[in-house]
Amino acid sequence: MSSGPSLIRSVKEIPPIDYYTSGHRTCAGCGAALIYRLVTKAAGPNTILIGPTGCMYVANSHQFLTSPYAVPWYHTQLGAGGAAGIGIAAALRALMVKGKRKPEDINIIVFGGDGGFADIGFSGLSMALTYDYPRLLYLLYDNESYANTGIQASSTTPWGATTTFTPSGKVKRIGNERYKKNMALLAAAHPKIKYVATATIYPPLDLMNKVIKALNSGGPSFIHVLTPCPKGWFYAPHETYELARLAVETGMWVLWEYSEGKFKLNYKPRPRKHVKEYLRRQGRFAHLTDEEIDMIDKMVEEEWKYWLESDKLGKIILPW
Amino acid sequence: MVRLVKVKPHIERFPEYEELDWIVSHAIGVDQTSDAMRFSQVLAQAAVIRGYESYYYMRYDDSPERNYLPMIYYVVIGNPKINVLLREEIEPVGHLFNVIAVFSSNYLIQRTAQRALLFDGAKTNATLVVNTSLSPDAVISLVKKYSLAQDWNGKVVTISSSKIDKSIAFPMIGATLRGYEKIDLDAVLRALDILGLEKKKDSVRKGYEQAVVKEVNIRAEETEKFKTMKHEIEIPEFDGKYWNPEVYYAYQKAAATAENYVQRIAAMPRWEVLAPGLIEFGPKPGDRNIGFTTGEWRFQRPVINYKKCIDCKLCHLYCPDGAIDFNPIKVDYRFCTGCGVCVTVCPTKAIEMMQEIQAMEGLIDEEVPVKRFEEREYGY
Ligand SMILES: Cc1ncc(C[n+]2csc(CCOP(=O)(O)OP(=O)(O)O)c2C)c(N)n1
Ligand code: SF4
Repeated sequence: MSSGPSLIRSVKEIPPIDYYTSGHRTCAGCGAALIYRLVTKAAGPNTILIGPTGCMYVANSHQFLTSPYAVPWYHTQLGAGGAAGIGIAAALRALMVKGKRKPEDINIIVFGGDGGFADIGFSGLSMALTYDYPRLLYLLYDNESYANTGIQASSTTPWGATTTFTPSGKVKRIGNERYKKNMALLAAAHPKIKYVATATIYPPLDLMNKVIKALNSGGPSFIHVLTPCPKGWFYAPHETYELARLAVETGMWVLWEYSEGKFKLNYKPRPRKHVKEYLRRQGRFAHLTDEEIDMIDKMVEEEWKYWLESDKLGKIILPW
Repeated sequence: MVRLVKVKPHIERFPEYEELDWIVSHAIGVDQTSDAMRFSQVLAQAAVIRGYESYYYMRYDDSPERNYLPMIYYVVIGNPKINVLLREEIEPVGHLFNVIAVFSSNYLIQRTAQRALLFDGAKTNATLVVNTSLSPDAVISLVKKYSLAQDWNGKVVTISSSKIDKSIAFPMIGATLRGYEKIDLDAVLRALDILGLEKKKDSVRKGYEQAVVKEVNIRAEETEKFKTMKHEIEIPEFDGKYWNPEVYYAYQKAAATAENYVQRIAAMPRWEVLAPGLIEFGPKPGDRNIGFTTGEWRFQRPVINYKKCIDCKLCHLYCPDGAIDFNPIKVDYRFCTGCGVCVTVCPTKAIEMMQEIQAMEGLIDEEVPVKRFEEREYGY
């Protein structure tokens, strides 16, 4: 086995330069903006970014005709992220093969929201993952709603959450009654896929190192990143980091990677905290009763048996 | 070399709207959106009850609603038929506002959602209603120091709303009635019935009673901005060369000196300067996007205690706005939005949040808190 790409071992080693810089109008405390920063930091200057419509397009471009990107960034329609990634990768490959451009490693990172990748752009994403373009990373920043248009439920919105499409009210008290779709498992179902992972902003270097691994994996890759969103999750902006940490420590967000056909858990919460520590800090779950929250905790407990078993075997077992 | 030319901002664009009355509210995006919305809704309804045409709408700093992004609600009141143009939600610039309602006192010292300073567009007899624990005198001295120059013979009304109701809209409505005659308490109470908000009658009454009112008489020359404000702004001249980053960055520099909305728009790069297809130039690696600063949003700021700082770089890593320099660790207040994430990641508790008005003026305003979700309405 090769020695693999060089990873970042401590926070002091992170590249100091940002390629997604200050001067954008995402929410104060926006988790998605933070993820954009960390990912582009890890990817470095030789990167092309693609952004399907969503908060990360609308809040980052055209403010008085200025832009916060220090690397090329390109907007695609909401469902077109998958195809745009392939298109740019194919164009670069053709130019290099024909000798019209000097051969070099260029990262292509498509940042899709859950609307952009899990719902509307899902087919394009799935198509893209069957190609062989290296350094092509599809990154789903999952703020668990269509945030830009005012927090509507998507297929990654968790059970119980209030959104503007699934408001908790007098007639129907439970908000969203659908269960959260696991996009990373779906990505892993593409045969011979080189690298699939889940991440969030906690632990500190996990996401950046996963981006480095994904870009160096030799094929298209996919990372599903849980993204705290103060507006949509209904919490005060300073809690963004804490919520990501609690999502991991309560086991509600499972950190794993699937590389060259091998499954590995990256974090085992020991002891796992009760999910109420995570849920009770968010307004979107404020209507849930203690019993309902206990029920979610039991579901998480049950799932974790399978995650641990998968970890032991190095193979994915569906947890449901 | 880029040649600079002078442009004069022309503020009076819509003289026909001067016949209308306007109530403008400045509020913090998401945290206070529901308050500003209820405030405007009730006042518009009350105006209708008193026989006026009335309409209200909102506006953000060039974006959908986002946390801490400054936002504005407008209420338009008047007898002339409100025409189609108005319904397209115009951005009023000119001497229009009768009431300026400030939901968080940071807008007395920071730019508002129009990228303007307070009183940019106020009538000379306007009433300023502020949700604050500060006294009217303190408010007046802030106006003299930070607001746009103008003659002002109006009123200041202050109210400490959250002491009365956690929905600060309703005490603010009561306070507004002390400085705006076309709407009276009776009309508001009836409006609350119509809107299903009858439970809030008490809060409105208390706001009306507890508001502190003070007459103001300021001459433009007494304000600091009058002495210092540039009435002209220098912008780069288009030199006929398309797609010229040098000219583009010169526009950005000019924009950074703009004093109000009109100047800011004047300093927007011409389309010829952009790359074909309206491609914007980003900052050079290592720079920040100075064409769009976000420090104006801030009602609180992080202050680093360097004696406790162990240089672990976690605050740099976790700043969603990339507003903390890596080496040395330092906050760039042009961009910090005051979210407070850095405070929660600092392992030695070296960072503390301080009210912006305290950092700038040494004042503490009890009405500048961060709201918990229980205190807001979801969906607004
Ligand atoms: C095909 C299409 N449908 C609808 C829209 C309207 N729209 C703009 S942004 C957005 C939300 C996208 O949500 P998501 O991908 O989850 O990103 P987020 O806003 O959460 O960052 C929608 C629905 C659109 N631009 N294109
Ligand atoms: S709504 Fe959520 S994702 Fe969108 S800018 Fe705000 S915090 Fe970020």
